[in-house]
Amino acid sequence: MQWRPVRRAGGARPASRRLTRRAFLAYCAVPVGAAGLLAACAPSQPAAPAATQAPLAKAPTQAPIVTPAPATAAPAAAAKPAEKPAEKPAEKPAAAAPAVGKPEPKGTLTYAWHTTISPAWLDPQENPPQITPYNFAYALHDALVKHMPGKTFAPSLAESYEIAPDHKSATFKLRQGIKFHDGKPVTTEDVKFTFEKYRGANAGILKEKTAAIETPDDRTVKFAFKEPFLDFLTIYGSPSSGAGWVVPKAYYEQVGPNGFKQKPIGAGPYKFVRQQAGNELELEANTEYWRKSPSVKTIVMRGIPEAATRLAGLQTGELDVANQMPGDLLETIRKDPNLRLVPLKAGPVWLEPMSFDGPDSPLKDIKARQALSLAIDRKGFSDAEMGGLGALEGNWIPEDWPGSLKRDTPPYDIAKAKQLLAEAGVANGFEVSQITPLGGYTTFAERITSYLRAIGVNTKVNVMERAAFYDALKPGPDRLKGLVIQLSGSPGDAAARIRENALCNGAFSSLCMPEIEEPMKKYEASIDTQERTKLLNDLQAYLLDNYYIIPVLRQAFINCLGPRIANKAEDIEGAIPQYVYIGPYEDIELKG
Amino acid sequence: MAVEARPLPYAPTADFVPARAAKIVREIPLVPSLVLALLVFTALFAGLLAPHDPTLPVAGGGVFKPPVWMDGGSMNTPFGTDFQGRDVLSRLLYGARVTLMVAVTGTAFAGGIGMLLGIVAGYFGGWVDQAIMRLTDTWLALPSLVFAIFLAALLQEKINQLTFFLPAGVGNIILVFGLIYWTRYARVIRGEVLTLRERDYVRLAQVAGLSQARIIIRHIVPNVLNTWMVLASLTVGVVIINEASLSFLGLGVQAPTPAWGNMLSEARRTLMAGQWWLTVLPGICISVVVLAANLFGDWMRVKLDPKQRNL
Amino acid sequence: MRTYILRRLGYSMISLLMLSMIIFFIIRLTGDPARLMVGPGGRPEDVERTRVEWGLDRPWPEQYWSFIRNLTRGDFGTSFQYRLSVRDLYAERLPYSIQLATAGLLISLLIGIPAGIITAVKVDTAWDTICKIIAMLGLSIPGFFVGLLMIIVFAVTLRWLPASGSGTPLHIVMPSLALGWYFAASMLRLTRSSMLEVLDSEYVKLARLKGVPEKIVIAKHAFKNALIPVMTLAGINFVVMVNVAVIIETIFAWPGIGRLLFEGIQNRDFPVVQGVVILAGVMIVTVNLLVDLLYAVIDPRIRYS
Repeated sequence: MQWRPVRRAGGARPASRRLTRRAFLAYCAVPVGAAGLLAACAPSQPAAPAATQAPLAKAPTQAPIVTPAPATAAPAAAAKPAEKPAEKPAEKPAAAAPAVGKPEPKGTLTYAWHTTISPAWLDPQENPPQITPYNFAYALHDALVKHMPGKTFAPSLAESYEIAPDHKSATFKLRQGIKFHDGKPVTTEDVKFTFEKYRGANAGILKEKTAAIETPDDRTVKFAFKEPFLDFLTIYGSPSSGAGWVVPKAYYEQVGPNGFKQKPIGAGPYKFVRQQAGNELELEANTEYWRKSPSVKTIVMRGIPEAATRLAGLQTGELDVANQMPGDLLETIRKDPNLRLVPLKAGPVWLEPMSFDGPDSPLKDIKARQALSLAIDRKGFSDAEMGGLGALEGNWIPEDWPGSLKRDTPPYDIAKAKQLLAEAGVANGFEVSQITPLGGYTTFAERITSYLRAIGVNTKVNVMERAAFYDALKPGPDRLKGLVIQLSGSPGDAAARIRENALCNGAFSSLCMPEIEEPMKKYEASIDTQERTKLLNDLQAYLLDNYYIIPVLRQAFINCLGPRIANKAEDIEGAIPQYVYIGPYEDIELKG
Repeated sequence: MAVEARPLPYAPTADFVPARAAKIVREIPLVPSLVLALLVFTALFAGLLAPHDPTLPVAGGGVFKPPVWMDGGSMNTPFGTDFQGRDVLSRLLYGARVTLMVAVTGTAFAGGIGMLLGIVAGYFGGWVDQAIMRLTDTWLALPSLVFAIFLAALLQEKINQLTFFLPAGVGNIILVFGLIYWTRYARVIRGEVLTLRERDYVRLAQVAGLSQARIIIRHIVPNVLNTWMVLASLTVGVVIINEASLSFLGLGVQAPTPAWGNMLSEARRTLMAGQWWLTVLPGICISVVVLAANLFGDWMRVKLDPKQRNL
Repeated sequence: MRTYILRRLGYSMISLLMLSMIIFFIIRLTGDPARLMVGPGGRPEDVERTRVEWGLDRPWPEQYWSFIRNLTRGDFGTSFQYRLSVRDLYAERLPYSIQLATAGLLISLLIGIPAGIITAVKVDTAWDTICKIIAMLGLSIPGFFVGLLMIIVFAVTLRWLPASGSGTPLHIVMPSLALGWYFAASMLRLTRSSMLEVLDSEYVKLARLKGVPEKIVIAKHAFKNALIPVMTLAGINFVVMVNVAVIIETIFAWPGIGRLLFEGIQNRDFPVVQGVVILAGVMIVTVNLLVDLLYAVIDPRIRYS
C-alpha cells in the first residue's frame, strides 16, 4: 500500500507569518483571562480548621455546596425527623469549682492515622472486634472499666467495682459529678442504655448471659447473670467490646446512630469539634475530665494512608505523631535525630494449611505441615518486613494475653524440614495450589513463598480482598485451598482467640473439628478456674502441635513520635495493655 | 474501483510494494524504533538475558543492595536488589514482557471492539447508530476505576483461570483496558465511516449488489485502518501508564509477577528512604518506552496524513 | 435548533438512565455490603438485621425503583460507611476536587496553549522541537511518579511546600502540578495541530491575500477557530480531573471525589458509588451537550444531520 501525503510539511515562511512579540502576548492574554474567570468562579478556599467551636446554627435542609463548615452539616437525608437543637455541645459548664487553678490547655497536636478515619469508629455502640476504634474511644469517651498504664481493668467512670464470688453478678459504683461533653451528668440510666443497645463485638455473648441490670440507687449498677459468667469483666472491661463505653442516652436517642456518628458526645478527655468524613477529625480538650485536664488543647487526627506522606509530614514538622511506619522506612527514621520510633507488639501472623483435610493433599501428613513450619526463617522475615522489631513468639495467641500458652520461637531448620518431607513420602517437595494472604499483606505471602521454595514446596500467591477472604475461609464450594496467611488485630484473651480462629462458627476460622468444639463447650460451662486453664492450654497445644496453626511471628506496630512531644515515649506508647496507639490522651504534653 | 475525483487521503494500491516499503523503512525514526525493538527483544528473550529469577531472592545477596556503581553494589546484581532481595535487573527484564503483553493485547482488544462497533454504527446508521453512540456516552461516564475494581473483585478468579497461560492479573488488565478504551476508537471510526459510506465507490458497490459484509471488508476497513493505527499508537502509551497506575492502587498485575508498574508501587516508599534505584529505574523504563511509542506514533501520523487533527 | 437541543437532551437522559442501571447492578455484583458494615465478627442475625435496615434484602428491581424515585427528589441515599447522606458527603468533597481540577486545568492551559501556539507558528524550528520534547515528557512520565518526586524535592529536602493535606494555597501547588502535567502536554499537542490546520485553511489564506496584517489574521481568524477543539478538550479534561484523580489524591491526602469513589468501591458502599458515578455521568453528559451545542451553533451542517 502506498500512502500519499497530501501536504508537504516545512518550507519557507513568509515574513508576515512570523510571530511577533506583541501577538504572542495577545494570545497568552486569552487563556489567562479565561483562567482568571475560572478561578473567580471556583469555590473559595475552605476555612482553616476552626480552633474553637462554632455555634450550631439551624442548618437549612437543602445544603448548598458549601466549603466544609464546622459542625453544621445537616443530619442524614434519610429523613431523621429531629432538627438540630441550637444547643452548643460541650460548652464549658459554668463555674465549676475544679476550674480554678488548673493550667489552661494549649497547643495543637497533629496525629497522622494510617487509614481513612471512619465516622463509625466514633460510636462505641458498634465497635467491631478490632483495636482500631478504641483509639477514638480513648479520646472521646470513657468506660466504666478500661485498661490504663500499668493496670488492666482500671476503674474509670466507675469508682469501684465488685465481682461476686460465684460470678453471677457484677456491681459497679459510678463516680460522682461526671458530666458528658454537653454538660449533662453521667447516670446509671446511661450505663444501662449503653449496655442494652450495644450491637458490636461480643454483643451476643454479653446479652445472652445477662439476666437483668439493676440500678438500686443512682450510683450503683448491678449486672445479674443467668449463670456464672467468668469472662464478663474480660469482655466488658477490655477492648473486646464497647459495651462499657458509656454514651448519653438522651442525646443518642435524639440524634440516632447516624447522627451520633456525625457529632458524638461522650465523657472522655477530649470533645468533638468537627470532622471531615474520612480525612480529618478535630478534638478539643475537656477540662472537666475527672482524671485530669489535658494539657494539649487541640488534637487534629488526619487520615493519611500513604506511609511516605506520613513520614514526610513528620520530617517537616507538620505531623507530631504518625502511626504504623512500615519496615522499609525504619532506616530513614532511625537516622533522623528528631524522631522517635516506638515499636509495639501488635497482632500475630500465622499460616494455616487449608488443605490438610483434603483427600490427596500432602498437607494431610503432620510431618509435611511441620516441615512448612521449619522452613520459615522468622528472623529474616522480621528483619526484612519490620526492621527486626517483630516478636518471634511460638503461639499465635500473644503471650501477654490472659490464658495464653507460652511457647518458644519455632525452630528454623531446612535440613530437618527436607528430612521430614522425605519421611512423608514427598522428598522432592510438592505443589500447593495457592497461598492466600489477608488482603493487603501480599509481601508476607511472597516471602513465605520464597522460604517454602527452598524445601521444594512450590506455590503461587493468590490475592484476595479482605471481605472475600473471610467469606472464603468457611466451608463451602468456594472455600480457599492451599495455604492462607492470617493476621489478627483483635483484642481479647486466649479463649476469645480460640473462639474466633478455631471453632466451626468462628468469625475468622477455617477449622471445624470435634476435638476443638467439645473442650470449648466444656470451657464455657465450667466455673472451675483450674479446669478452664487446663482446657485452654490443651486446646492451644493441640492446635500448635498438630500444626493446624503455624505461627510466623508477631507484628511490630511501629509508631513514630516527633520532636514536639514532651513525654517519654514509653509513657504514652505501649503503656496501655493490648492497645497499640497513643494514649492516654490526657497525659500527652507538648514542648514549649 | 478507486475513484480519483474526490481526493481520498490515501488510495490503497497494491503494486510496487517492495519499493515503497523500502522507502518507508528508510524514513522510520531511528531512536524510537530502536527502543521499541529493544523492548520486544527483551520481552522475548528475558529468560535468557536475566541473570536471576525475578521472583526469588538472590542467593547470598542482601536486601536493598545498591547498584553496582555505588558503594556496596556488586556485579552479581548490577542494578541492586529490592526489599525482598530480588535482583532488580532481572525484574526489569521480565517486566518488559508484561509491559509488552499488556500494551499490545490491551490496545488490540480495545481497538478490535472499537473498530467493530464503530463500523457497525457508522455503516448501518439509524437506531443502531444511536444505540451504540448512547452506549459510548454511557461507557465514557463510567470511570475506568469502577470497572477495574469491579472486575478485579468479581472476575479475578475466573479470568485468571481462563488466562492461566498468562501471569496473574494480566488477563484482568487486558480485559479492563479493552473494555475501557474501545469508546475512543468507536467514536472516531464511526465518524470516518459516516463519510466513507457516502463515497461513490461504496455506492457503486452497493448498486452492483455486493453483500454488505463484502463492502465493509473490502472498502471500509482498509480505509479506516490508518485512523485505527494512529489511534492505536496513541493508546499504547496511555495503556502502559495506566497499568502502572492501576498497580499503584493495588489492582494491576499482581505480585509476585514483576511488572514495571507494580515495581514502582511496591517501592514507592523507598524514595524517602534513599533506595532511589527501586523507583527511578522502573520509572525511567516506563517513560522511555512510552516516549518511544509516542514518537513512533507521531511519525506514523505524519506519514499517514499530516492533515489529520490530533485525535 | 430547538428540536436539536431537545433531541440531544433526550439522548442525554437516556444515557444517564442506562448509566444508572449499569452501575446499580454492577456494584451489587461485588458482594454483600452488610457483612462489611457489621464487621467480620458479626453474627448472622446482625448481618441480617443490617441488611433489612438498609433495604438490601429486597429484590434488585425494587431497590432500583426506589433508588430512582429518591433520585428524583435529590436524595442519593446514605453512605454505609460514613453514615452521612451521600449528597452532603459529595458536597463536602466536591469543592476540593473542583479546586484541584481548576488548578490543574489552569496549569495545563497556561503551559499548553502558549506552547502549542509557539510550536504551530514556528514549525520545524528549535522552539518546536523543545516544546515537542516537553509535550512528550508530559505524556510519558506517570503523574504519580512526578508527584512522589516532587514531595521528596520540595517538601522534604527544600521544605518549601507542605507534604500533604489541604487548607492553604501552598497545599495545592504540588498536587495540581502532578495532575496538570499530563493534560498540559495533550493541550499543547491539540493546540498545535489545531493551529496548524487553521493556519492552512482557505479563509486564512484569503485574509492574507487581502493584505490583512499577520497579527490580525492569527488573532482574529486563526486563534478563535483553533481554540474551539481545545476548549472542548479542556471541558472534558476538567471533568476527568474532578472524577478520576484518585492517585494524586491518595499521595497528597487530598480529600476529593476520586478517593471517595475508590474507597466506596472497596468498602462496597453502594450509595456512595452510585452517587459519585451518576454525578460524574451528569457532568460528562452536560459537558458533551454543551460541546455539541457549541458545534451546532458554529457549524449549521451538524444541526441538520
